[in-house]
Amino acid sequence: MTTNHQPCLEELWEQLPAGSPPVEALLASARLRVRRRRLLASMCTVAVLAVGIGTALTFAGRPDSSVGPSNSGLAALDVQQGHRLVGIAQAAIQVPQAWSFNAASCNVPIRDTSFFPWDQGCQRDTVDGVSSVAITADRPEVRQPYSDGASAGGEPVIETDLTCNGPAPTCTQVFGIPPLNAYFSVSIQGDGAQQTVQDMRKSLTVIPSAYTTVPFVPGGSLAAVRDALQKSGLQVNVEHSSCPSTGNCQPGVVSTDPPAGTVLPTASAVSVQVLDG
Amino acid sequence: MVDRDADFSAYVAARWTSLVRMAVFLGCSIEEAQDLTQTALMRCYVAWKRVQRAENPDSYVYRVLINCHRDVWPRRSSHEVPGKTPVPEVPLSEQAPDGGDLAATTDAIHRALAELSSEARAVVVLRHLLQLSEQETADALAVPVGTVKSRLSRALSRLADSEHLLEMRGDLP
Repeated sequence: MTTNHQPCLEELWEQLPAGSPPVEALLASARLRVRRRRLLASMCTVAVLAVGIGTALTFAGRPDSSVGPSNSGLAALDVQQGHRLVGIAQAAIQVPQAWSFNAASCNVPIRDTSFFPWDQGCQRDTVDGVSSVAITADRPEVRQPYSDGASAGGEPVIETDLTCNGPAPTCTQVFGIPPLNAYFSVSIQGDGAQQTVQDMRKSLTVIPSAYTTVPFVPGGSLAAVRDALQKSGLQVNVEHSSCPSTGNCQPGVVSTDPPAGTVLPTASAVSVQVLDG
Repeated sequence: MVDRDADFSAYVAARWTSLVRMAVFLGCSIEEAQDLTQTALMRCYVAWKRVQRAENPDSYVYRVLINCHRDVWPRRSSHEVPGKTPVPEVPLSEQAPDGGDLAATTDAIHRALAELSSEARAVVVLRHLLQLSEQETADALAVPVGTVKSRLSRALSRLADSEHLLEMRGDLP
């Protein structure tokens, strides 16, 4: 670089303010992430044990049993490798494990994610090349008509046609289980998009009563979040942390661990992270 | 755990500014840069023992930031319209007192570096602005030292011809 340009780039560097480091809040979130990893690891152990015990109980005293995989509860948890279940109420689908939870801004997914749209009062442009599943309790209003689809777990399913547009392409479909108030709006971009949508549709399942999903409570108070979690059959642990004095944060419920949409054994513990003002 | 927290907190306080600035120079807005830095630091916290044991912890953390930028921010191209937004997992830091100057500065940075690839920008930031050694820069980018030298040389040549930097120079006292 010539001498003429060096001061300019360095001055731009020095002029740029970075804001105060949110040390305490960052530490709180980082600790939460570590606990989440440990909780998921222990949940996997619990789930494996529960399935194992459930299998043993199912076949106990049935020497001539040929039930096998017709036990829809166990079959529903047969998650494909590299995928995880995500859902609402007692319905779930499988998404790639690498997808984020609720990585959306102003109801626009910003990376591959499952998310729960809610009225946030803001707008933004869409982000290209992102795949997502929007999960709602209400039936989405779409241009295409709904038709009856193959049932899931004995429950009726409605769905739109799978459509693909553009060179990328982008393939979309909406489907749901009306009696369970569970709807999934799938949008997949890139190679294999059509197959991916079909796979997600096929993975639609009714979660057995031994399991539940972490509910989404948009902008809710701690009391509302606690109530929703308990109604879902989950135990609640509340963790408080403080907004740093130099930070710009909004007190209230920040997140749950595991995040909303996660499928868990009933009576599992969920941590609610609360920022105090 | 207590030692890790204290060590991590001290590191964040010391390196926050350089990490956010680096993210801006990689192409983020200031808000995205703060968000990206938080994401990178949280990843580092989970693997903090590895950071502490690294030959150069700074290189390790810069590499995590660069990887986060590559993995998480490949397609972001829009900005929110201000309004009611969800509570962030980690709160944003204070904005600059003068939002207009901040926007002009970040815009100038992005225009000046627009012709450089993200790899070239990373080399300019690490080697030229953060003054890391060639080896430390190579470690952060996971490339050979020779690649660092050639990328930096080409990047500086392109910057030397940059009209945007010429314009900026004209505005500075």
